[in-house]
Amino acid sequence: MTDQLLALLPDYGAPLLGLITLLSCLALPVPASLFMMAAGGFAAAGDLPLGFTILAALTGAVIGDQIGYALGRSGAGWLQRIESRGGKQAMALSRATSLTRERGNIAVFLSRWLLSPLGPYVNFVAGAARLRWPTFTIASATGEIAWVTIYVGIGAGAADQFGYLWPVISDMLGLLAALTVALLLALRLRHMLQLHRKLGHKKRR
Amino acid sequence: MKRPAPLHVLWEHHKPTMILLGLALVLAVFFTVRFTLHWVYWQDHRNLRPDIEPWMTVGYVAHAWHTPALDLATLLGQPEDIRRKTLEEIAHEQNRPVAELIAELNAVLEKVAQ
Repeated sequence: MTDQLLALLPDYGAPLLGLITLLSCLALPVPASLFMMAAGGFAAAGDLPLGFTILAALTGAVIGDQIGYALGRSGAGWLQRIESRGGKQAMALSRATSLTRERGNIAVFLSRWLLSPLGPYVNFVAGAARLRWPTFTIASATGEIAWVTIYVGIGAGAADQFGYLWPVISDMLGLLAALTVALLLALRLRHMLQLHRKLGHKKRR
Repeated sequence: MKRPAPLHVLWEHHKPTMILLGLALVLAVFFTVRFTLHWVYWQDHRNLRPDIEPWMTVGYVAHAWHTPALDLATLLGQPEDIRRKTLEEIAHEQNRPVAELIAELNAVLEKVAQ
């Protein structure tokens, strides 16, 4: 499937690449980074125009992010209703959404390129937690510029190593994403443990 | 009173989060192993040329392996019409399996390298 799509790249070039980056931002399982590397190789070989290729990948990715954000945003009211209900879970939720509003831009930026497997979900969460739209858009656009530049650059510069590089890169991305999720969960558990201890002390007194 | 072990407390009260953490760690181990295997394979084969794929164009192959595109195209019998055509398409037009065409390219690149 991937090979057939790759074979379409020289003919359909930029628009196809834009469509693929767009879909990848919505959590559809398309290997957008792989395509950008291949496109970089075609561009360096003179089969695709470099500037137009980068611009198309970037446009697709930014539009995809906006759609993901809008989808998340459409669920924001539902989250707010749960928050306003009160109780322990509502409080935890409202803490999480307010944290996202304050620091979400870093998560959005990093999940565009360094933690790209998490990208689509961060879009939904950013929308649902009502991260401000200009903040989201700036973080998304700058992060996507990094993403596109890195992969098109690698593809153009290391076209001869393509078959070896891609498995190594995709494993590293998977590892980084898994470790990040594990770290966030561990921090959350540590926080919960501290709460338990505090409550335990109070009860004993 | 003895304080209960932290893991016990967490497992008791936050089972879903603990399970998710376990899954994330399993995934991390999985990717570490795979990364290591792929990395070692890459380092072992660094000096060898990676496979030429059917989706590559003559231009791509020429660029990646620093060979004039025109030479490769002439060899494949299409000197005027090489841009943007994938090896698959060229093989299809010439009514032969793409593997044969790739083998030919490999032979030429081998010669150039020497």
